[in-house]
Amino acid sequence: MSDVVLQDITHRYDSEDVLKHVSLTIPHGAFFTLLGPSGCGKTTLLRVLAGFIVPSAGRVSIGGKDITDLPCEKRNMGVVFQNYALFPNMTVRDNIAYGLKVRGLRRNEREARTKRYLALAGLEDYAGRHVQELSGGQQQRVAVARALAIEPDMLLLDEPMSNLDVGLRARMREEIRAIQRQTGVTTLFITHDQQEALSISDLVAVMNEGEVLQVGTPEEVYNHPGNAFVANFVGTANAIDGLQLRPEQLALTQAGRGGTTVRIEQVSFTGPSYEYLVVDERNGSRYTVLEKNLGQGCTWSVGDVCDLVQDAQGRTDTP
Amino acid sequence: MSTQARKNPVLPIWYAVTALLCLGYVAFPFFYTLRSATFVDGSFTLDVFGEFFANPNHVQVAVNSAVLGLGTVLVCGILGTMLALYMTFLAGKRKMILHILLLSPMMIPGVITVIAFIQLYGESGLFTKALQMLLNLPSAPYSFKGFGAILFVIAYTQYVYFYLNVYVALKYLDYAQVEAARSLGASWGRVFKDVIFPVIKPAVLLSTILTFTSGVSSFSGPNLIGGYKVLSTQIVLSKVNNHLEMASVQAVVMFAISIAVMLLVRWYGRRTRSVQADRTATKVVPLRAHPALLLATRIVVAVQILLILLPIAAIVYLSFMTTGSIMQEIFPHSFTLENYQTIFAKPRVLQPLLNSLEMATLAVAAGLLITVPSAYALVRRPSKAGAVVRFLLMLPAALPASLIAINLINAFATENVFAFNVPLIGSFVILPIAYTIMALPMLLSSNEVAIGSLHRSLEEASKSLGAGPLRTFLHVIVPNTMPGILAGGVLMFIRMIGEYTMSALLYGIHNRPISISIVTNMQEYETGISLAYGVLVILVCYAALAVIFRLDKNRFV
Ligand SMILES: Nc1ncnc2c1ncn2[C@@H]1O[C@H](COP(=O)(O)OP(=O)(O)OP(=O)(O)O)[C@@H](O)[C@H]1O
Ligand SMILES: [Mg+2]
Repeated sequence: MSDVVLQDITHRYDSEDVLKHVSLTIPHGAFFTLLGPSGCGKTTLLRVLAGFIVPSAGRVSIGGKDITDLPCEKRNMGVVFQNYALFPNMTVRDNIAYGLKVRGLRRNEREARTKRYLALAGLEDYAGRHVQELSGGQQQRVAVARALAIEPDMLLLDEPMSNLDVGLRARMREEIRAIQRQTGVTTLFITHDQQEALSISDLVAVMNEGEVLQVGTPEEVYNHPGNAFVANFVGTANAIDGLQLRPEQLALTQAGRGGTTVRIEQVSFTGPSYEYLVVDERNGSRYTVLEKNLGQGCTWSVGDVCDLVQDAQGRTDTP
Repeated sequence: MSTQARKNPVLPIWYAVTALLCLGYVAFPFFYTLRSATFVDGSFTLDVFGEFFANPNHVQVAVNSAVLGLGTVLVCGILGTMLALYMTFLAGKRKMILHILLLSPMMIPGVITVIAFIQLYGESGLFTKALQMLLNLPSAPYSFKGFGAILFVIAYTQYVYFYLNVYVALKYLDYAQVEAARSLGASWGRVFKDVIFPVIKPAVLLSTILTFTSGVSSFSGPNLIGGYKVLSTQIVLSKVNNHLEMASVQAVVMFAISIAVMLLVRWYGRRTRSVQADRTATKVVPLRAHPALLLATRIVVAVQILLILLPIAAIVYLSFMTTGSIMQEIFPHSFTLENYQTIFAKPRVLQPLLNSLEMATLAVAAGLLITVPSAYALVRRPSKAGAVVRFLLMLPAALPASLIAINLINAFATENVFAFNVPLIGSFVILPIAYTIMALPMLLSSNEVAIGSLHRSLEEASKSLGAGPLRTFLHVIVPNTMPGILAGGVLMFIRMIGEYTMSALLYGIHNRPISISIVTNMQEYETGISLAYGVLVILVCYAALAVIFRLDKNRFV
């Protein structure tokens, strides 16, 4: 198994450590997501993996082979950049064929492979176009096809969908995931959108300020956040008695039933549910509680006083 | 509310006047030259062209010019592009100072550079003598004459155009594309060919045209260093020998060579696709190069910087030596202020400096007067008439300096309606006129940039607040674009204050410019005075440069 292993990676820009002792194992064939706020070092970590920069300390290996000092053009990693970085002086076909040409593949093999990846990305009709003449979504597919055509040992995607609108983004996400399943290539995906991370990954690593805080399946990270930062970054969290509880794990009941007494401060409608912001007036703590939208309006309104209880089933008692 | 809809009589009048001036002083004079080359005793003949092409010596001179042009492009292209790549990808600390140093040859008039090079590398130059002593040789280790020496000097002054243009173009390189190509397995050579070159290609082509033209028409190098005959020197010779018809033919041949190359380069540029500038590009990250490579490039850059600083240091030093000491001592060391005292004590000696200051100022003022309103109209109200006027104003960019001068001689030696029937040749104004003509294209384009970068909404805000067009122009447009416009003017002032090629053909007793005095003093063995003149001009140029930096820092960075 050619797992990708990052061992105690530290990287220093100027005088600041942008990555601090990062250790990660990306299992062979996994769809692995790096999730973290802007500036936390995600791109830097990707650049270390791709070989664009040599880390100040630490080792990178694939399948047990150390590649820390291997230059990027020898690593065989497909990279999809945030702005796609398509070559504007080439057609769609030439972009996809570029890596094959560089590798000196024979012409007929090159053409066959280019055709295969054009088809995989659904770009057959656009092969002769220049890349400026494509929509954002099409450009993204060219970028993915170009990275895949070299049949890389690993696919690295740096926020490839940040330029797209919400609808297209969701569609592209599914497409990328489908292509990844089809090819089985180990994939590192970078995003700062927790929803995106949870919905498409096998594994998620949450980063902050150059450190990896937690690695796990989406469910693990969401349901059992290791600390307050992870809990708050991956969804909304309420700290109660040292626990991090999700809004849907709390409920509101009629006052005097033994929970924490709170007052409703704000109600917002999000579509599938109502979101209450409540305050415990004795110590000023605030909590967020969700209530499913059953089509009959919300139960509580601003100013109401009620009790906050833990409710693993996500039920909300009616008053 | 549309400004386009309102008919404004000022604009057509302005365009008509500008077009008339361009026709009278640039286009028609060229036809006078063609007439002078093809009409002898009032009838059409190609005899003079025949005389030119039948004589192998003449043809050889034309070939020499073309070869010098090609050599200039090659040397400047390689050196300038390499320096731009170094500054973009490898330079770390002190980038700004390096950049300004690398640009500095642009700020010193060519004729002074040539003289400084001769003082350093000529037969009795400081560097030559030092090397001779160091190697213990009986005579100079090389002869600073001919093609190589001339190309050396030209390369040193002209690489700046390649460097600056390519450097600016590289700012629009999307660095992610470099990494994309690298991650797909491309070597650095391939990255250059497939990713970097398409981005810098327009800059390379433009610089090719610029440096070829200046190589083909360069005058101070071939004239002062000698040993290699080119068209520009032969034009002056023909003119001195009163063979104006031959001078005209030679100027037309020079023009034909540079136009042919210009068209060829344009054709190549149009045939291949270039990449549009991308302002959202990912920034270049300074690379971690192999230590050996880094050391090698650092040495090249250090040598270049040394080459730039040495001539300036040499002439400043020598200008404080007595002429006798410069001529006789191996390493002059008799300090004196005499050279400067002579210049400031004798009005006759000071006059050329004053002349040049006055003429360059006049030329820039006239040039701005013509180009500022035109640039404004061209940027804000593009039209067919505007395109014609723009073409006419840009015309001098295609004309070698020698040709502009020969045109003026042919057109204005006798009465001409455009000069109200007064012969201009021999009068004071002819040089300011020539300087203005030469400055027009650069002034126009720098004004267009300055005005184009002014956001239209500022102007619309002023109008919406009730200000009329004139008020808006004076109170909003002028103050906001002035720094860029003036900086362009100052740059042209620096160019014109030491102008030599046209000056050599056009100067007279009333307007002897400093460049001519520098050369004649040198030739009359008044070396000390000549160098002191040079230092004074450099001082003026650096003072002007300081002004540009105050006005418009972004111009070069
Ligand atoms: N070339 C560089 N030189 C100096 N500092 C840098 C450089 N590149 C990145 N940094 C710094 O390193 C830190 C991490 O940057 P990085 O690009 O890895 O963040 P990121 O997690 O990808 O952020 P985003 O989500 O905004 O893309 C930032 O503070 C950034 O300012
Ligand atoms: Mg990033």
